[in-house]
Amino acid sequence: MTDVKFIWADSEPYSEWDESEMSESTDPEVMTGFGGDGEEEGPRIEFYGGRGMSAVPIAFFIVWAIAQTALWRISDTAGLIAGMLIGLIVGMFFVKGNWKTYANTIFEGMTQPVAVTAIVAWIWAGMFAQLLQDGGFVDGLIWLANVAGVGAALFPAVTFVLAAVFTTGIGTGYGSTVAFVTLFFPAGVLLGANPVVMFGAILSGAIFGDNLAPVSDTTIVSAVTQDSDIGGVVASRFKYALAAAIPAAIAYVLVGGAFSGVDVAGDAQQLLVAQSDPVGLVHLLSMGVLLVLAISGRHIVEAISWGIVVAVAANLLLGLSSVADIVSFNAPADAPLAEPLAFLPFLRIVEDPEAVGVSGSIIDGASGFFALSILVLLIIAAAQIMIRGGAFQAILDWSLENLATNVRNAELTMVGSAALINAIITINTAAEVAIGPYISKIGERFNLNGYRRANILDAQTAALGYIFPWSGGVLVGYTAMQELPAQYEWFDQSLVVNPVEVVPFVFHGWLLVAVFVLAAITGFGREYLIDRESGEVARV
Amino acid sequence: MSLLSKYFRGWSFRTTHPVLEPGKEVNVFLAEYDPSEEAAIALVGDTRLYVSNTGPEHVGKRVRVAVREFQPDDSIGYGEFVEVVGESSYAG
Repeated sequence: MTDVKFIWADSEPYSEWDESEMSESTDPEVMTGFGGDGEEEGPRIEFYGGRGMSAVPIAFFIVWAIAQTALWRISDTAGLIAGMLIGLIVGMFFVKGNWKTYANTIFEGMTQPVAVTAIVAWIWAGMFAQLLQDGGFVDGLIWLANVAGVGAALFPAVTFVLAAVFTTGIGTGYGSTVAFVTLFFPAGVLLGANPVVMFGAILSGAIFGDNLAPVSDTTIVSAVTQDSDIGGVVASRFKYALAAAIPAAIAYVLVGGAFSGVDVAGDAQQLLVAQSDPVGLVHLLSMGVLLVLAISGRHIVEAISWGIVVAVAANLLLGLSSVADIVSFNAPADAPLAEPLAFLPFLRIVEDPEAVGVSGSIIDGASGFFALSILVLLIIAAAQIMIRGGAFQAILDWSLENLATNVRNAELTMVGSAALINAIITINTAAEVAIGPYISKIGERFNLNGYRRANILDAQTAALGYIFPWSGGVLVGYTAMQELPAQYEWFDQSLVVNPVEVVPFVFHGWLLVAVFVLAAITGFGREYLIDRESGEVARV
Repeated sequence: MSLLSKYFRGWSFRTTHPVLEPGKEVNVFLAEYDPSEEAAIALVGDTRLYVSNTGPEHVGKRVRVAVREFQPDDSIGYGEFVEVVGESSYAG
């Protein structure tokens, strides 16, 4: 290697590099650069304290995110936006000379196609997910569990499978964790299933869907950051998901039988019947249409739009929701044409001034991603600062010198780095966006194709987001569980599961990480660019 | 590729040293430039492919390469640059 000069992607012509800007590599001959070649090169930013200081905005954000989400258990995306904004302002004070270049780089980062693609896909996916939730999809699954007559021992395994199906449909693991903790968890506890195992099964199902669903925010980020089509990514990760899910389901059967539940006075059957409705299962069709179209290579916006059309038709035709539930203009009575047009099914006249607005599944679903959209723009802006300032290159150089020295080590590095950042940042989508460029560069160096890179990235993101007590998935489930004593007389506070206890029982999460460690070592599922190129990412 | 076959693609163990087929054209990302060989190097796993008619400006780009020769014992290949076909997924 001593005779080789490494010149990284889009590097400046190396003759133009100042000696002081050379790599920190131990090899004096090794030269590196990142950030645009010749004509495409954007302006570089110099920082007091060296190029490592360009990581200040991201580092500040990570510290903020750990404090907010891990130490204080505040799972609030808006709070992370504040952290990233302050980080970007703090970083500016370390810039040498004119701050204009730094400011312009923020815009440059925000206009990256990666961010826009993810945001568009999220908003479409959010609408679809909300239509399924409001259309009683979970009620249909409860009906299925009830008619199957499942007992206490098998209930956690069945919960895992149904939560996996539900999350694969709606894409949001947090949403299905809340739905299942609210509806399935009390029924399972009443039946005699162990509460800790039940919670673990719900989180495992959420991980499965978060990882596999084409409408999942993390699936979308993994695909777009690795420049791959979402349908192809979903199809290619099926093998890893199954390799972890089958042993996980078996483990829930075994553990469900071995761990006893708690004696409580209540009628599980009554609870299940009260919340079950087979009609909601129609959304297996909505989900199926979307999956088939996405995997057959249709543009993701087209695939989700068809899913939305089928879900809306099903909700209206089967009476699962009204037109106003889907979209409703809530107008004040004194509006000029409110009273005369009050017969319209999407117009409501409201007395309360605070109720004035537009509501319904469509707006609720889309708006659920607004905060995350702003956050991703800011994170990508901070990543761009890191690239233009040289810290990204320094981290890459170090990784290539010390960790990713061959393809197997490169894959293990990708698994480890994605796992680490997701273990420490509670909101897994934010962590995934931050680590995406790093995974891309390491994988591209060894010509791993986009599917493989996206799969390595998303498995760790999905799994680690639902295991630890500070993980977002665990926190939303725990928060929903704390509402149960107020909802059911028989639900004692002692039945609320301590987030620490559930850690070893999130079987699918642990197994998914293990599958990828083994896949990196053995080469299972590995694909190179010469084997297959991923399809064009569905950009708009 | 049929819908079903997309699901069942890649259910296998892939070597760290893939074989390159002389006479075939492949698309690869170029990882490094070696001035002494006057060639860029693509790492396909741990197989090294030296690509002639390239310069430092091609590093990081996805290029089409006509494979000319492959030495399986050393996992080293040689090929000619054909054209640039793409960029890194995160060009920065």
